[in-house]
Amino acid sequence: MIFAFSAFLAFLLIGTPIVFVLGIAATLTLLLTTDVPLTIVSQRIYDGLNSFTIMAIPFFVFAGAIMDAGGISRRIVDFATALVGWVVGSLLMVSVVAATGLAAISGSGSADVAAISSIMQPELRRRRYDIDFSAAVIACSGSLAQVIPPSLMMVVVALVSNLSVGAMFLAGVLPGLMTVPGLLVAAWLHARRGGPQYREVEPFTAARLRRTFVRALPALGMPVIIIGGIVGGVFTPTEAAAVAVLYGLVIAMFIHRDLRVRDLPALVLRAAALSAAVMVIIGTASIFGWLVANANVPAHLAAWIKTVSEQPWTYLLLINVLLMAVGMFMESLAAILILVPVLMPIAIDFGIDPVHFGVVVVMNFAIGMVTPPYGITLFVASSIAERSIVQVSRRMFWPWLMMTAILVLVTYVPDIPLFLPRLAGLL
Amino acid sequence: MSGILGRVVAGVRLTVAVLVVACFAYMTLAVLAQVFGRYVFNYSISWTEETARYAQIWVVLMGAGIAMRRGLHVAVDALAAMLPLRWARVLSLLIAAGALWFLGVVVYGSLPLIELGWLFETSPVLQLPMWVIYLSLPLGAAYFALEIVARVVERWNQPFGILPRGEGDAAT
Repeated sequence: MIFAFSAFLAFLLIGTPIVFVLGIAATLTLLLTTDVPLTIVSQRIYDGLNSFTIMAIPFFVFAGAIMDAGGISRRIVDFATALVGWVVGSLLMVSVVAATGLAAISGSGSADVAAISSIMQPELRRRRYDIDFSAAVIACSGSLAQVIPPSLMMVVVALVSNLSVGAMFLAGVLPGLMTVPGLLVAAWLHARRGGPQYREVEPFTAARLRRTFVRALPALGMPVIIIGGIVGGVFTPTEAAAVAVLYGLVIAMFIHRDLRVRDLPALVLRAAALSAAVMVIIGTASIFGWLVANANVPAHLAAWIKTVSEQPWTYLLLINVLLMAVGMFMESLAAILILVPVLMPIAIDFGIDPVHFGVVVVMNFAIGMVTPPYGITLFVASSIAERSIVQVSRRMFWPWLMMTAILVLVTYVPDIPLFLPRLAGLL
Repeated sequence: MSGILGRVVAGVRLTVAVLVVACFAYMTLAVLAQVFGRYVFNYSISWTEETARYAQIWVVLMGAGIAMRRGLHVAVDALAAMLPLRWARVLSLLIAAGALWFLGVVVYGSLPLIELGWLFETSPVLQLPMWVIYLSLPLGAAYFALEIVARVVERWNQPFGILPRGEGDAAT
């Protein structure tokens, strides 16, 4: 096992794609330390992909791509403007609320950030807002797409730990929504200290709110169908994701009329490439996972941690520190696939509820998406704002602190994430 | 790349793209048919789940090469990007060699599966011959290998770091 981890680290640090880091390290270990025939490598990849549950990933990615291309985000932004455009720091408030709205429609933070940034950045620039701060705030609110259902990370955590996707989705609702006021406050404090441009706001009118709400209604129906359908047992998460694709296509093609049939093949190809990049890691990670389970790594690690402390809260503290550090450097889904099979059994051993632990993991990696040097929503937000990652990172502190504060709260008050799944009878 | 080699590569890429789009579309339609069958026509279709899973395997294994071409395979390459060009080239060759070796193992390991599928193994529901599905392993690995070699060649002068346009896209 030591050999597997050294090979893993060596290939990781020289810049090998994660899919090969896992594949090479696992295959070398198989070859040198066991006499298992190499067919197991192909067999494990095949078995890892031969799953109906993980099909939720390509469907949610496709639904995100449709949302990106169709006029859904524009209508959400209009509705958000009617809702919070009258507050000081108007455009920042709108960005946070609109990104949260999209988070409830898509399971992809980078699609969310790309959509909101392309609409809001030209306006933010024209009205001379602090572009770096606005990019930081948009990156943070977009990363909530992984906490607020539907969420790709939640699907993957549920998959590797055999949890109910419905329970994971519901458990993310309150932590996700609680982060929003935090981000709004961070934006408001920033705007209040700023110049007169932040006080230029949109007047609030009930008529406008009603009009924009009606226009955004088809898009806002999406989360109701997905979450309601899964929780109510109408369809499996995978079926719900396929329905989300159909629903998104119908809205974008027939109601908003922003998407044409001839745009579809390119959109499908993009969704296929994006999901293949994630899912092929599921294939090679399952070889690695098999080795880890065979060598009984979780049990050894748990015994070792318990020599330090037997308290669940120390384990959770350790996890938060570890995952925040990992999230800074590594792509989140890959990190979940590698780490959760090891960390989850230990958490259960410590008496921590697996769904609670899953939410803590997802929130850590959502924060990992905005922390440099590697953070995907940070990358997307900076690149559309045409600012460097360093420039945007300098303004990241307050929004990051808000997200971290909610993470700490959710870590030590398990009732916050577990309230809704219990209410729905899923736990 | 130019000439005959370039045209062959372009043809392979087009074929793979068409195959992947068709499998993805099938996968989506099959699952939707399953839902509509159950609720609208009150009839459970037994084979949609199985065939959708097989389409997914083809999408992912062939799509992995497309993702390579689009620079979607994440790597921790901050350290490698700081190296002088000569060393970066050495590393990129080393990584490609490791990757090709692993893909070779996948191809080698898939042969017994294909043989099994050829001789007698069939899928549980539709009784499809399983070699049709197992074939995605060597073909996907071969196309993946092609794109790895193409990338080493195309990025010879800047092996690491995100390129300005179109890269750094991700699912999450």
